[in-house]
Amino acid sequence: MEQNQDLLSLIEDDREKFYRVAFAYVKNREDALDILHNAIVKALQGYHLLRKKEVLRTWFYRILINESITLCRRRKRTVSFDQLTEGELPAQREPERAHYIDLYAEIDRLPPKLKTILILRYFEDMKIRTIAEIMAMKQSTVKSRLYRALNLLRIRLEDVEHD
Amino acid sequence: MIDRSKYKMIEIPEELDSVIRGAIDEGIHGRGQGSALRKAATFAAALVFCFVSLLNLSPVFAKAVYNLPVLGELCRVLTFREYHFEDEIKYIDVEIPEIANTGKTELEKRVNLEIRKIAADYLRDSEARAKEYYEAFVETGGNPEDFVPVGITIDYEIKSVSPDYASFVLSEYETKFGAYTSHVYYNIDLESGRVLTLKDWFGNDYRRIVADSISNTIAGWDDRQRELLWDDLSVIDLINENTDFYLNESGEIVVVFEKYEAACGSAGALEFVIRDAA
Repeated sequence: MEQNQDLLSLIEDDREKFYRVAFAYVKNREDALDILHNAIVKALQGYHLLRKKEVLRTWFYRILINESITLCRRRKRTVSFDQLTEGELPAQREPERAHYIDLYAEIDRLPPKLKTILILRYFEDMKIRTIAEIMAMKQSTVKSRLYRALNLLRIRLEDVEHD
Repeated sequence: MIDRSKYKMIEIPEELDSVIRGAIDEGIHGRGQGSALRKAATFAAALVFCFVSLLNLSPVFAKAVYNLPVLGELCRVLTFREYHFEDEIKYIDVEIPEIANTGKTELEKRVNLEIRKIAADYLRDSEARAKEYYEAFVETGGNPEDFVPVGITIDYEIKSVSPDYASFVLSEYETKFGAYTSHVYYNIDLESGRVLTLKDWFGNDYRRIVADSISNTIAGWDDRQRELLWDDLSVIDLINENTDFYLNESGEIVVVFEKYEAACGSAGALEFVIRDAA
């Protein structure tokens, strides 16, 4: 019990944050709670395998996100990347609303991995470097995926990076 | 500009705390198989009836460990019954304790019957909820094949066993709805063959003794802990013959207030070791 106190505190302190991240993926309460439940169980069971305790938070986010993606896949509610073509995405946005982007709704059009990057970057306000650590990717990969995601949603970078 | 308001306004369900506590419990005590199996169950064809068994492992198990120092004591008194059942709607795991080898046949019969009855009641209610949920899912256009079965787990935890007493708690969890978690505490006086009450332990004045001890503990808390308690909390009103408690390993009485009983939800269930000041 004592040893994983830092993990327990992290879960306790940031539980609402973690719930929101999970919810943003699945947009329903039961699934978000399921994701959180599974992530916590896995984190506690795998805690002894985590050597560098200073990356605890990053590590937990990674588990949480993997769980979210797994559940999305299982529910087949997300569109696979192959199906995603420029032509069918997104539904026409009204021009006068161009400066007011409902990213929260828009992300549902994206495949899980691109969705992850947008949630972490724009809702959780994480740095590209942190996202790269969480997703075990190079920073350049995160950046290129971020641009691709925005591009697919026809959101201009300057609309989202300067607010 | 990005509209972040919808994200910030995602409502935090009140079950969040109990789901987290359940998950922590599961993560630490290693009851993790349920969720992996639940996933596997999703892919199973509809209407797979897999009534594995209603098995009682006690005779072999108890015999094998009877002579081990710690486990021997435990198994002298408690054995368990388990069964598993699944279909397209639900995934049930039941593991309930049975007392045995106490030398008090009447007591064993009565307590075991009661435990089984409680487990059966839990199951009946959970199954009804699972069925309701499934029907709502299908009626609202859900594909029956996509339905993730509701996991229902009935489980127990032994708090302590001594030659004189056996103390354990029966728990039920539903994995689909974190909100449904319930516990029943059992304390059995093996000598008299009775279910132990706070009154048996502390005498006629038990309500005052228990309430005083709890109030003393609370007085030692800091403001942050204290402010979670209900403003109009009256400890003594919560103490009666049905108050939940168990005996810990040191043989002390620990009173348990379920979530919401004495404090707001984020405080969770509260436990107090009772010390008789007299």
